Amino acid sequence: MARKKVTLQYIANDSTRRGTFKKRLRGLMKKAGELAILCDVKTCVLVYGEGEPAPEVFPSHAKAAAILTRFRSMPELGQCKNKMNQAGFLTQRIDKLRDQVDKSRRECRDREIKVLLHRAMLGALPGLAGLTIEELTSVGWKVD
Amino acid sequence: MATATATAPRRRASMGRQKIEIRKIESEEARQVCFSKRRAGLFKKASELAVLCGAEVAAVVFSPAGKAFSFGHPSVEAILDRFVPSAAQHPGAVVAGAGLGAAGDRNLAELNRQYGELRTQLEAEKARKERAEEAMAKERAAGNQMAAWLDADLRDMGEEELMAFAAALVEVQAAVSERANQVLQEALNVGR
Repeated sequence: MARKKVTLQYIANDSTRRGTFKKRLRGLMKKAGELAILCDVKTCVLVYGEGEPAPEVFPSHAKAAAILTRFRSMPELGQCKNKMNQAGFLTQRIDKLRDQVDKSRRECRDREIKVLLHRAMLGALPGLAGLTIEELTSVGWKVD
Repeated sequence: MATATATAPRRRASMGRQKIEIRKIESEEARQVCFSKRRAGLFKKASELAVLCGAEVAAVVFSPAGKAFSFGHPSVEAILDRFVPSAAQHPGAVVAGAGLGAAGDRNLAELNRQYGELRTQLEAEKARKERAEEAMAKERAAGNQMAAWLDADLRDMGEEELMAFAAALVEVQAAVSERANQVLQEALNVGR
């Protein structure tokens, strides 16, 4: 698996975009299939590629139509409770990421301070030279 | 998949990536867990396909319990209507983000940008954490006093060791406040 980071932005290069579309479409349909079988649930996916009138459908036109009919027949609330579109989805992921970043930062600082504290305790930092005010205060708190 | 590096290979907390057979999961609990994760993953992939390739994508999934989950870009309604034009549409069913105009697109672009930024930040933080962990591991490996103290559990320490530990702490505390005062003084002097 090529583990490159891809920025979430419309791919400008035409041929790259088309290639990516094909690849990711295949992957998406595969994932949908796995979900359906593993969890024994009704799943359907519709994809309208750029400038393509006909959609790519999982599992099949007929089966998807049936699933969507059932979906539509649900009371509005049932449909809406877990409805997502791009904006909502992104916002949710962004919040999650923010929390992860904050948590990571805190853990990181914690470790760094711990190391500093112990070095100080072992006399490796005579006069605590070279520490910034921030580091000093953090170490001080840690002692308490 | 884990390759041995110069430092001792780390054992992962969970079992990591394993190839599994594609058949119905028997355990109800495991099935539910799998559903949650994979549903989210499916939506994520759908979202990426939509943004990267300018496609209109919708996915509808029913949970084992029968709850409906849907994702759509630009909106579930729009795509469903395109697929199966429904005469009996919910009039004025407004879902946040439906009917995106230029403003909606700008909003999305901004959100995507934020997302990318946060991802980069997260990676940076993870790298920092790794380095800090490495530093700690090195100290532990050196097997010196620091190693014993880094993860010290106060209850495990003998009386002598405890006293040494406490003494060192007190010393540091004094040194810290002295140094802090020093720095403060300097700052004040410069201010003059």
